[in-house]
Amino acid sequence: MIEAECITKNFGDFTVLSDVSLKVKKGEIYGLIGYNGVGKTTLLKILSGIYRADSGTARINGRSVYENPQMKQKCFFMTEEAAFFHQFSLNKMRKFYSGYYPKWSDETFKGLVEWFGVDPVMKISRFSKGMQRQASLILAFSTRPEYLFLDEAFDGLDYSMRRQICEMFRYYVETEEASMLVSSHNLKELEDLADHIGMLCDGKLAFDGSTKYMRENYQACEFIYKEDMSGLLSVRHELLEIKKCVNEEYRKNRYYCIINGSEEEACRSLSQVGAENIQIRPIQLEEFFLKERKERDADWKEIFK
Amino acid sequence: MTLIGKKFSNEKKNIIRHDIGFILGKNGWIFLVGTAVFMVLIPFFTAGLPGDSIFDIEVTHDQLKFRLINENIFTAVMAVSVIMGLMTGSCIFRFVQDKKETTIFFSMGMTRTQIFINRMSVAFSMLAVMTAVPMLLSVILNVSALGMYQALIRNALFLWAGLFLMASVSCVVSVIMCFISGSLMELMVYWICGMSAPTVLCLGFNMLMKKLYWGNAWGVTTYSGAEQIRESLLEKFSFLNPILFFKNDLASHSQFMRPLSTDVPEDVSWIVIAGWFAALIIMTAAAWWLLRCWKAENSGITGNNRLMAEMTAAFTGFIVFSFVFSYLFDSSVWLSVAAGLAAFAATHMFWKKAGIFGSVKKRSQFISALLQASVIAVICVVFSTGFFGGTERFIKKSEVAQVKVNYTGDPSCLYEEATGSSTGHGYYVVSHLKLEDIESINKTKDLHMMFQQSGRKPMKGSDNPEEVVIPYDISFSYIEEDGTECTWYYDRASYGQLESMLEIENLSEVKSGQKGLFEASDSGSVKVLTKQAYDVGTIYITDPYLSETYELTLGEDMRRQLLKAIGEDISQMTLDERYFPEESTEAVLMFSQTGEDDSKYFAYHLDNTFLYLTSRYKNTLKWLEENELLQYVKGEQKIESITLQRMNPYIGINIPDYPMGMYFMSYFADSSDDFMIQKDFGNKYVIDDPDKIQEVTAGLRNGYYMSRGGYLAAVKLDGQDGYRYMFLPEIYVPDFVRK
Repeated sequence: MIEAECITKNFGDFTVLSDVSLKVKKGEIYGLIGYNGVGKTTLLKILSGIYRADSGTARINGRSVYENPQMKQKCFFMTEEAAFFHQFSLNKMRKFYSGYYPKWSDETFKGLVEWFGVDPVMKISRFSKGMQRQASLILAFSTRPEYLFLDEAFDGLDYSMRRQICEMFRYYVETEEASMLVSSHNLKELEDLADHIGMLCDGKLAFDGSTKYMRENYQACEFIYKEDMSGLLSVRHELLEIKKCVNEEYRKNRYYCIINGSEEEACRSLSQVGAENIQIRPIQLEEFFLKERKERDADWKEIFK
Repeated sequence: MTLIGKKFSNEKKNIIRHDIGFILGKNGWIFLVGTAVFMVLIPFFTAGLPGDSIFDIEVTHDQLKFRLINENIFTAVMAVSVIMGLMTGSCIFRFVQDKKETTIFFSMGMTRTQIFINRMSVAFSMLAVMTAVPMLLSVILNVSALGMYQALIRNALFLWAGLFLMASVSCVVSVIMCFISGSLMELMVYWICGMSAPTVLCLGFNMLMKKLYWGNAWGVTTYSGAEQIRESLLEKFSFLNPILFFKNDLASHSQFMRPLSTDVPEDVSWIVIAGWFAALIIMTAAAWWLLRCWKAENSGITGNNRLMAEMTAAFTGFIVFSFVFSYLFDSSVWLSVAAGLAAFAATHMFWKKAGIFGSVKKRSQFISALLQASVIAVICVVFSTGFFGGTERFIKKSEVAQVKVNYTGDPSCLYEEATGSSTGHGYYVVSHLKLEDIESINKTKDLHMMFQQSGRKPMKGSDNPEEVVIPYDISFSYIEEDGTECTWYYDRASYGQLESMLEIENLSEVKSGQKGLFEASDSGSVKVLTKQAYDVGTIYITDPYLSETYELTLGEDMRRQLLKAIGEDISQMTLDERYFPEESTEAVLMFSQTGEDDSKYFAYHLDNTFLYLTSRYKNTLKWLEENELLQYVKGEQKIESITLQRMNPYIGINIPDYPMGMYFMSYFADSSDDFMIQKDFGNKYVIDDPDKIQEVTAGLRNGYYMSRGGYLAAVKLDGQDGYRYMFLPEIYVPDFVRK
């Protein structure tokens, strides 16, 4: 199990992470999301033992990761940007990594090279962004790690490749009983892949739960409401335990909102205030992300005048 | 050990082996380059250069016993050692400045300590081998060319140890700088700062001391450049300098040319090597500790180390200030201060622009720059007050065994070794008298105090001759029982001060020394040129106008009689009678070792001595009379004209920048424009009226100390070519000349 307990990390005067705690169990895929610069990479690097937390602990199977070579041999951290030595080919990187990871598998390496269809002799610097990402994945899985930390795992990959890689992740985690912590801005893939979602917001873990829990407790609702808006706004907090009424799009009389509650509770709450033609579905990860991340207003006309 | 434990141990060894292999593979080119360069510098330059190879070098008496490193490339060898250290350390550890490489290495199964050990091992091994192999080859070549000799192997080991240490220290400094910098530029800047800090401090302090510390002797050479008064601070503290600590040992032990006195090479001292080895261990430990504390998130980020940035700005600002200040000091003190501070500020702004200060606010940087400037100001105050009166305190309280003081008088009475220079019309001699009597020591202290308390006066002329200040080398040394020597040096003196220095010749110790010049001694112990001239030089006698010159051929007995008479006369004469004679010269004696060249022009030369015999030389004149030698110089001379020029070093455009001997000695020249001080147009005064000539002639002197002012005179004899240059003292200058 990967475990973060009350991790705080500062960069100078700026607090990146504040009291962050999470757990990733064996055979589980944890999806880490958050807006740009929120601290996802920092958290991954702390959990993989590259950074040292200012306070709190990062443990794997109860043991600290930082400066723990035995534990690190079981981990692999895949960086957001492709991390290769200058002028190295995939074969040369294989020679490099194989010496540091006792469980390195040449068979896995060859199989993945063949499957991805990358040239192991060509210099990686000549690869496209997507191919470099593929090369990173080949090396990551060839080390046969028990704990994987993948930063922007799908960056640069086409749609088809993303779907297939998700299959690979799922297979590997289930058969090897590995733990995987994945950060990505491809929320669609992550939603299908991850067992658990953690959302960082303003340095804290704003949400930490399973995708199932997310779908069961957050509903996306569309309805028609013809009454005075003040009525809807005024009653929703009295009658319903709607934590927030967000993302409302005012399109004639049609409204959209996210409700914290089950489908029945959502339907009942809306009916009580006079909503009609109510359509309810489980929230998607993208909607959930937007719920937490307030979009900034912009006067484009002014900016591009 | 359990099977699992054993498996882990083997795994760890495999990983270490793999890591070291990777480091060598990636950085092996440094080893190849370094070895190749050292191969050229060490064995090739000692045995491969045609004409300068140990296989065919020509030396007498089979003197060269071994030459491990060619003496012409010591600087190159040291420079390459330092540079190879920098390259090795920075290439092997530069991964910490690349975010991606940092992530790769710190995410893998090695502790930071293991990473450090592996890389430092490779670095030290590479440096050890790249210096050892060429040295070994040099030993083999020496044995082949010159045969085995005692201490050859010892010296080779010693030299290798020194070069390896130099390279290793440079390497560790660069490793440390990798951890506290974020880019290659920053690394280089901090490495230069770290390695050159002792040099910068010594140079900066010495520059300021030369200008501010009145009496400073550190790093000073005499005006002629022939004598270094004291080593510079850089040389004094070279043993603490990572670039220079092995310089002297390299020069001393690279080769052995057997002298006549011994066939044993000089013993090597391992103290400096041991000291720097200890320092290397401490620095390596510090580097390890830095890596352990180093934050991976700082990888590739410049301007993160405020301390190093401040030190860089402080050191560079200090040296820039020192240089500008020293350069302009002689022109104007206030200009030098203003320009120095401006240069200091510009240096700080430069570093701010370069980015090493990162996000430090301007206000904060300004305050720290102000503090640094204050420190420089304090240093300047300390120097300009002579360490708050330390010199005066030393003079008053010190009890010493011996003193050394400059001799500023008649070079013909100088009884110690001297260096100097001379032209047809002038000369300058530097010599130090060693004195041991209490009387001598106290007198020296009095004179020293006089110089110290007078302060640094500007070099300029004055209507009062005593206050004319000219360039001059004046030094006072105090030697204690254990041989420790403290020296003060003054680069200028007033005429009055130089005249005061003559008082040394009243000391009984000096009188005894001068008397010894005219006494017989063992020829083998004579090293003083003056004594040689008296003992074996050709003797010439001439009239005061140097017109009728005769060579005296005297037997040894006669020569001794003459010298004895001279010695008695000189010992009985007062300083005034010798240096400020009221009487005219009756005859001139010249003792010359270069007489064929100098007997026409009577120009002073270190190999010659001159005696201007006034009536005070009673015994000498009596002896000459008795031996019928005086008759040759008694004829009257008719003077056609006298050209006068005021004796004032500052009367022309060119300010004197070189000292000149203050005891005027007459000479002959072909032209009337051969005064000892060259002047502008219109400063010469020609007298051709017979009555005026007669008036002036009465005051002319052949030998006179010029400290009381006067005129230089070029005398043209009637019917003779050439001019006789003499001196007209101020007190004898006729009124018509003054007007």
